Amino acid sequence: MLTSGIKRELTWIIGTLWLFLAFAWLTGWWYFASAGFVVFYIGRHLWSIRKFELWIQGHDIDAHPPTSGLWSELSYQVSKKQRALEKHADLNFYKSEQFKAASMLLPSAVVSIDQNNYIEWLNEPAMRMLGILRQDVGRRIEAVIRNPDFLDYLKGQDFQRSQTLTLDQSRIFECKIIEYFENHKLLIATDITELYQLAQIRRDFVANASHELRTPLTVLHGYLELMQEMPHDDHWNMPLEHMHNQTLRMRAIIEDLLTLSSIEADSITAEQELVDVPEILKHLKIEAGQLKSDRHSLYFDIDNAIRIKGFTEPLKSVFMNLISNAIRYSPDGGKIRARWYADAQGVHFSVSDEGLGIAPEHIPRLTERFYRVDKDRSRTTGGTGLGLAIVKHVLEKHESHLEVSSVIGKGSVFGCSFPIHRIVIEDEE
Amino acid sequence: MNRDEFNNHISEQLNRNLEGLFNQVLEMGGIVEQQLADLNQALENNDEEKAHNVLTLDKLINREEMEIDRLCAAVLARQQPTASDLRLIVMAIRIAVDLERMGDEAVKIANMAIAQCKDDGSCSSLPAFDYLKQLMAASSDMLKTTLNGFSRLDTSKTMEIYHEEERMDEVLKLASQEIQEKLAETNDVETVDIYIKMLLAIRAAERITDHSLNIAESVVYLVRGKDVRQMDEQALAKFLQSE
Repeated sequence: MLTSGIKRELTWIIGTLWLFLAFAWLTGWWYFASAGFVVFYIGRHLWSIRKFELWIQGHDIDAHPPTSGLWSELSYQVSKKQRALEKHADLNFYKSEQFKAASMLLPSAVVSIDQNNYIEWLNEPAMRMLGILRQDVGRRIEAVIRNPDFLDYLKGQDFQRSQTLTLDQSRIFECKIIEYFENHKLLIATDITELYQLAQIRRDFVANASHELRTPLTVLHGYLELMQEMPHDDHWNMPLEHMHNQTLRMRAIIEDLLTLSSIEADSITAEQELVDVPEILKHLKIEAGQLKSDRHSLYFDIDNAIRIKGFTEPLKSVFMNLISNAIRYSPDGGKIRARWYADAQGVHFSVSDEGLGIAPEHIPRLTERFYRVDKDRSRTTGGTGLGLAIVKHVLEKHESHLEVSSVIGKGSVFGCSFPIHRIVIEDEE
Repeated sequence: MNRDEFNNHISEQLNRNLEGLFNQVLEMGGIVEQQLADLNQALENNDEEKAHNVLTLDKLINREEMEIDRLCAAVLARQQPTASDLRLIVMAIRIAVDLERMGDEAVKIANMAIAQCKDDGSCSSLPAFDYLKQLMAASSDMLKTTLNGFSRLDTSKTMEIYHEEERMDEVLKLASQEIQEKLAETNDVETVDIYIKMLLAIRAAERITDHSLNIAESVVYLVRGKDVRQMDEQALAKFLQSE
């Protein structure tokens, strides 16, 4: 098939050839005319090439594209392509400008750093919040944010978690590094000062309120005991008994609240110690024996060689909470099996029961404070509603979390796993 | 420091060593900044834990100083740099010394705070506590400005630091006066002891601002190549303005 360039060229050749033939026929100069045609044809091409080149280079505004034969088609195609490219570039430029404008308006500070931690670009909040200047682009991020916690985070290469930083004395930022675009990193910082302070106020309030409630409650409790022992009408027996039980329960709730707030307030900053879990479980077995009724049967399957690094008292309350929950929520009895064992993933603790079980929609919310699966039952079974909240916080301190699986009506398994580096295994002689 | 600053040597190794040294100084500065921030919190909230943290950070600072000395000696021994590179090394040593002293002064104040917390009193009840807070806030700010100046090789804030330091001298005078007056009134041995500790703490806080100014002067020497320690205020301002 003839392309349009060749068609145009052929049209031109045939057109001019007729002209030259007519000239030769009229004058009879056949040789002269054919030589003239060849020279003219080559000359025209050379002239067009020059014109085309000037036009492509675009130095001269007056440079026009050649307008005849193959060359006109060529310049038409080139300019068509160029227009498309320009349009594409415009679109890309527009998009990148739009993206840039959007990143400037993000409420969080965003700083992009390359693999050697040099700052590449940053947005306006980054300048305002982190005190980075426009001229810092090209410098190392460490030179600008010198906070030791941040440097550890940057060096640590563990970007799964985020880091809380206190900059400028009082502002608290949540920093997160996200790796993107090959080896580049995106540092995102959000000002969480207000949130942090709110959480602090809540913690302080709970701790103070519980503390303040303790004294009046002790007085109430003391007088109630006294009244029970003093001579009184028999119909007061029941109310006094109830009041006595309820003050006991309130006391338990307050104790749990205080424990919880002390765990939350990071007061476990003491050195981690070696926790003799098998020993704790042995004690708990005796305590659990007093809690259970005749219909329960307890099985403890403990690997005596495994001990872990952690905090003894908090862990004890974790195990106690899980075991007592298992007993409490198996009103019809059944087997309760506690296991303590290690495998390649780490060391595990689990308690399984054959009790009521928990519907799936409740499981994620179990560790919320005062969350009750069955509002009516809980009062009869006792418990403060804070046990699993304590469990959750203690486990967080041990790089662990609560694992729950349950089938309603069949029973539940509550467990937790501790990472391998916490295990201390001793050979038993 | 600008990226190019470390790229103008043929020796790749020298580039890397100088940049490492520069960052090491900034890292050490960061720890001192953190230490001062902790100290401020300890004073404000009577937080004994934070005060102990100041002592822990001081050990880190001492180790950093040794590391900087070692790096400087290594570069000097292997590459014999000259001109601005040599100035960087000499000043890195000086700045490290100043930073380490700041850490020591901070420890003095922290010890006072711990003693006060142990006595079950709060620091804010001490005489001249407002002055101490003012001094501490100024030293934190000054250190931050100075280190930013170092990291950007920017001397434009030097005069600010100079004036701030002079202002803090005045504050120290006022604070000492207040404590002296209180001392004259009291006969109780224990109270006298506490007042003297407070006096020492205020002196220490003022010394921190002095060291900040020293670092700022070192930065001027590093950038401009002229020792400005002996200059009076006007000469310094004039020199900094002349490009």
